[in-house]
Amino acid sequence: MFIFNKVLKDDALLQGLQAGTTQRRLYENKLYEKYHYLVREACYKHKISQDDAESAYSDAILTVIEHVISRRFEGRSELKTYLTQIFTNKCVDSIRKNTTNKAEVHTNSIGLEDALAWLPDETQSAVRKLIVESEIETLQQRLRALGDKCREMILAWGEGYTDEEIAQTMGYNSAAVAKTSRLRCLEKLKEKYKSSIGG
Amino acid sequence: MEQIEAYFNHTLSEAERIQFEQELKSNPALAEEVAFWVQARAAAQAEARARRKEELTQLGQQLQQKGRRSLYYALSAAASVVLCLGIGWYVWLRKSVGESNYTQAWAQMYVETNFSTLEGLKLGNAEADSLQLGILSYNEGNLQKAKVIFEALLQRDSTNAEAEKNAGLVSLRLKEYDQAIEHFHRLGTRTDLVSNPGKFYEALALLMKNEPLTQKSAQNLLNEVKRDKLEGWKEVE
Repeated sequence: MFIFNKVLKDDALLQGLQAGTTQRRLYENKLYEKYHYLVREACYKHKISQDDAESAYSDAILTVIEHVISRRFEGRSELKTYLTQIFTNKCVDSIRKNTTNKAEVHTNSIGLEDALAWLPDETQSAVRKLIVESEIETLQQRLRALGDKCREMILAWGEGYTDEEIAQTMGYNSAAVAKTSRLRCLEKLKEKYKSSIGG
Repeated sequence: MEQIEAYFNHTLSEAERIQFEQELKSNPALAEEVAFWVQARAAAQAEARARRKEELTQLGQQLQQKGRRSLYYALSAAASVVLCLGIGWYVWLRKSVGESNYTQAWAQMYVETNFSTLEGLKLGNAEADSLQLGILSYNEGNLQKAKVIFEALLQRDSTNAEAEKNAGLVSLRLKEYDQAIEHFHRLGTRTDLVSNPGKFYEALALLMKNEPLTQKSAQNLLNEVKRDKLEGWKEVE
C-alpha cells in the first residue's frame, strides 16, 4: 500500500482509473490530491473564494474521472491540460452563478440526455413525455430512504461501477449475483417511487 | 428491467434491439419502465456524484490543514535553527571575550589613571588658545564646558587631530561612549599623523561600553594595535 503515499505519474493514474478494480477510488483520490494546488491558483486567478474553488475543483475532478472511465478522454492532451480546461469552466460557472444567479453552462455529461439519445426518434418522444425532470429529485430522496446495502449498490451503479466491481467491493460471489441483487434494489426503488406519487 | 438495461448497455443483438424498439412503440407499460430506468439511473448518478463530491471536498480540507501544518512546522524549524545559531553565536562571543585580559574593568582603570587630566600645548595662536581653554575646563572637572569647546573647535576645523582626540576623551569621561567611539574612530583612520592613538582609544571606549559586540570589536582593535605596534601597543603587550 506504500504506493499510495507518493505522487503517481499521469499514466499510472489513468491505468488505475480504467483498470476496473476495487482500487479505483484510491486512484481517484490520488488524482484529486496531485492537482489540488490548482485550487490555490484559481482563487488568485479568478478571484473566487476558497470554498467555491474547492467545489469547482471537486466537480472538475469528477467530470475528468467520468471522461477517463468512459474513454471520452482519449489522451490527446496532457491530463493536467484537460483538467485545467474543465476546472476553468467550472470556475467561470461559479462566478456566473454568484453574480447573476444563472444556472451553470458547463453541465455534467451524466443525466437523461445521454440515455434518451440512444432511443430512436419515434420512441424517444414517447419516453420523454413520461419523464419529468423534477421527479429525479424525488427519486433521489427515495434512494436515500432505501436500506444501506441497496442504496450503496445503486450508487455504485450510478458511479459507473460494473457488476463485477460491485461484486468485488460488496462481497458478492459473482457479477451475476450482484446484478440480480441490484435489479431487485431497482424494483424496490420503483415501488417506493410509485407509492410516493400514488401510481 | 434486465432487457432495458441490456438495451442501453448496447449488449442486445441486432434482432433483439429491433424487436425491443418495436415493442416500445406499441407497449405503454414498457415505455413507462424505460422512463423509470432512465430516471433512476440519472438519480443514481446525481446522488453518487453529490456524495463523492462531498468526500472529495473533505479530502481537500484535510489537504489544506496538512499544508498549513507543514508550513507551521517549516517555520517553527527555521525559527528554532535561527534561535540556536543566535544562542551559539552569543555564547561563543561571550566566551571569546571572557577569555581576554582586556575587560571593562581594565579599561576603566586605564581611563582613571591616565585621563584624569590632559596636558596642554604651548602654541601661540587662537586655535591653541581655545584648545588650552578646553583642556583647562577638562582639568578643572568642568567636562560639559570642555566638550562644548572641543566640539566648536572641530566644527571650525574638522582636521584638528588634538581637538578630535580631546573631544573623544571628554565624551569617554562623560560616559557618552558612542560619541567617544565616533571621535576615536575618525582619528584612527587618519594616516597623516606622526603619532595616532585613535585605534587604542577606540578600543578603550568599546570596552567601556561593555556589550558583547563592542567587546569583540575592542579585542580585534587591540590585536591590531599590538600587531602593527600602533600607539598604545606597550599597554597591551
